[in-house]
Amino acid sequence: MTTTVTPPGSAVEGQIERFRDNFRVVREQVSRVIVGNDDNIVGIMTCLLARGHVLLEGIPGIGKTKLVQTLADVLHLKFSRIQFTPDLMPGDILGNTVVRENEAGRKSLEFQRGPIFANLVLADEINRATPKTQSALLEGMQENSVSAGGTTHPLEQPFFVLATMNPLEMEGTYPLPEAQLDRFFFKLRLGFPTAEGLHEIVDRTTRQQEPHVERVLHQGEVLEMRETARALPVARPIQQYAIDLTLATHPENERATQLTKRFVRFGSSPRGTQALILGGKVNALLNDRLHVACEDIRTVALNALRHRLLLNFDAEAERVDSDAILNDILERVPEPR
Amino acid sequence: MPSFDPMTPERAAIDQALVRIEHRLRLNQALRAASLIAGMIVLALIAWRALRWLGASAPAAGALVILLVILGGIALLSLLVLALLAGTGGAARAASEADLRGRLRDELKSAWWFLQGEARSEWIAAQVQRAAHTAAGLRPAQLIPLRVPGPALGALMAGLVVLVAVWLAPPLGPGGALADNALLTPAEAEQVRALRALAEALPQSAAARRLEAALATLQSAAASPAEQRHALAQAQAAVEQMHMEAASSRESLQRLSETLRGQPGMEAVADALARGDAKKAAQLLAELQQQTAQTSGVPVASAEPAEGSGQKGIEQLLQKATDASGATDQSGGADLAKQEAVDRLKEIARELEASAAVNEAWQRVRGSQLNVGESRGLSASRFAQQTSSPSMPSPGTGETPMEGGTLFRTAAVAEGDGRTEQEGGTRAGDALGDARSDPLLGSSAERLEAQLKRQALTGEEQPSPQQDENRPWYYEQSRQQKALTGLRSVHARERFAAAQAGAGEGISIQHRQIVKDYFMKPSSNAGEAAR
Repeated sequence: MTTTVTPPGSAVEGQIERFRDNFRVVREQVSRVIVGNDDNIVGIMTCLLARGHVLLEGIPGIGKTKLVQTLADVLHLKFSRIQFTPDLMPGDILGNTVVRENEAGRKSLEFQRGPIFANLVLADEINRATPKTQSALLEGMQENSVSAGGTTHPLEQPFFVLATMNPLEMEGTYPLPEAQLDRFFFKLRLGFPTAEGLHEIVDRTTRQQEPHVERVLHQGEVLEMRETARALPVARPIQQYAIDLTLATHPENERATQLTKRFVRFGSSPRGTQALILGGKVNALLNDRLHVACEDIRTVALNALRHRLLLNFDAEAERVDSDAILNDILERVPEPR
Repeated sequence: MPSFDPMTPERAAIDQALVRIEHRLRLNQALRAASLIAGMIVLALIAWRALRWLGASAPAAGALVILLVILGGIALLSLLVLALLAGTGGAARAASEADLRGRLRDELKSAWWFLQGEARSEWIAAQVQRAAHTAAGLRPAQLIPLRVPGPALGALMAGLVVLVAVWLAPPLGPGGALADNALLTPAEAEQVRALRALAEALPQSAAARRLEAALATLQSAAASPAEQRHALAQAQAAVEQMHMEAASSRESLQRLSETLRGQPGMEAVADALARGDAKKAAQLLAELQQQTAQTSGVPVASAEPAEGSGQKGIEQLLQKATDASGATDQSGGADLAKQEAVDRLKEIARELEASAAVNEAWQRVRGSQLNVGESRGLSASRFAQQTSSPSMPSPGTGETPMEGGTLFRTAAVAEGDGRTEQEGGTRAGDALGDARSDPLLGSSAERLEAQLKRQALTGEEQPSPQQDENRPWYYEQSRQQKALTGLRSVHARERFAAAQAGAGEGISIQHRQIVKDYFMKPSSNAGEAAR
């Protein structure tokens, strides 16, 4: 018996096409300024489209801030930058209630919005501010709203926080607590550029005219892309795989690997599984697929889970990092058949 | 928004593709199972061949291994059948396999799962549609080729090679050279056959008949190991008897040569006899007879062999011939006696030749048995004996002195109680020294140290019941350690005694420190003295 199958071609296909095109254009524009770091550009975009926030970790001077600024330029979104310092107060981020006098001489309290009221917020060197200030930002990240003076102010969508962190200078810093780290969708690590990359950076930045980017994506398009990413279906076996990976990070779980049992104190939260699935969806769309594959889950696993593992003293002593443990988990956890 | 019916053509296309893939998987699995079964058969054949050898040397262990192998085989077959019945795991596994082999990145698996579920959406419809399009383009034959896995095929081929090698290789000799039915290897059996043919060709004698009977028993498949062992001993005895007879003939020839050496015209015959060449002697004697007949004109008479032919007979005949040659009237009688002597000599030559041939054949049979024995350890004397040529003292080799020493020794060897003829024989005094010496018994064999220890520590070896209770649970000396400790203590006492005896100062070692302290620390000694 032969069956005639209609070739695919529907509104969904068009939606995917637009998604990929928009993504490609953004990548191209950002790549005009940023050398290399293609994976990190994709990671940041994935966070943006999955309604998450991203934590960028890297040594000073490798273009963390430049990357975020370029992205803001390309996306045509409202951008604000907060330089975190030890004396930064929550009000400096959220805004303050000020007394304002109108023309009639009547005085009233008015909420003066802080820099958090933007689409793209760059929290530069977030670990330099006190935990109190950090938590003010993180509340907004979680709730997508800011409460001040008894009033809740919703944050405009898309609301996307990019926090940067310097892993070297730990003096005078306040490391983010695990609970707050968990609120970040991805933690991306920016590596040092290669020799070729350095040549390119020098070439681009030491001329009379630096490369400039065009605003190619509007707010509405970003929101549509977000919807598209969420709409992608996930089969139960793939979801099971993401759950297996998450559970394998818990030392007390039966799926835990030997490395997990030895070096992990606490495994990933359910937010980790959410990040795996949502990140997998974006990755599937980028690869022109209408379904999430285990490969997509694996692609985003390191970025989604590395900051969600709390390692024990043995891991510190033996210099085992979460990436090594996650790679081991990815190797050992079988795909569902 | 397109309608999504669970029974859309897309679903049918996916189901069809999955069914085809599933069939292909089943075929592949059957092929794999067949290769596994073939491998098991090869393994079983190798095991059977190996068990033939093992069972030959250790029947009980062989039976146990056979039982275990059969049980293992049954268990493996059961697992195989279960695996075959469990089979491919249905469409879900077919989808997984197709995704894996076709690098479809979980497309069919997802589609199959979406089709099984109740959730329907535009996106799911689009995904299923796309998956159906992919499934329609799948070629199961290319996706899942019917192929035995490389490692399995390699193992099978290696197993076949091993099987062929094991099958063609001669079976290993059993632990004892004469242990069982597999007493003779095909090569040995061939030699025994040749030996038998030789024995049949021998002049009829009691020894030849015994040898023939023994060889027939050795060749018989129905003979029990004990019978074969007995037959081998009989054959050995018969061959030795033939050796003795041949040696006796040579001794007679030697004596005859000495007798004839003084006779005129008989020097050449005497030399030939001295060399043990009876054939040449007979030829020379016949020539002499011919010359005598030509000179005297009397025709050569043919004579029937006299009754009781033997070495004494030939001596008498030759004596008679030489005595009669002096008198012309008795020349006819002398010729007749010479003719008879020639016939006897020819007969002796035939016997000696046959004996030499039998001896050589027998040495070959014995040599192969010795080679088997080599695997259990080759003594220095045996090695020297095997490497020297000829290996066996025998009149047939022509190198054995005829003084009678070796002959006497060979005749004196009695069959011992060892498992092999070599062991048994050497225990009775064979110079080969193949057998291990029996352990010496009695106190004279005990080492001096052990005797000393026994004298010094008498009674210390038997622990009392109380000592048993106080025995430490975490560590206890082994018997060997105890013995070593005791031995060291004995040595220490010896050294102590030697030191004491050799000390020129007249102060024993155990008192030297006290004396030294006395002179070096006068104050403390004064205190002690005051106390």
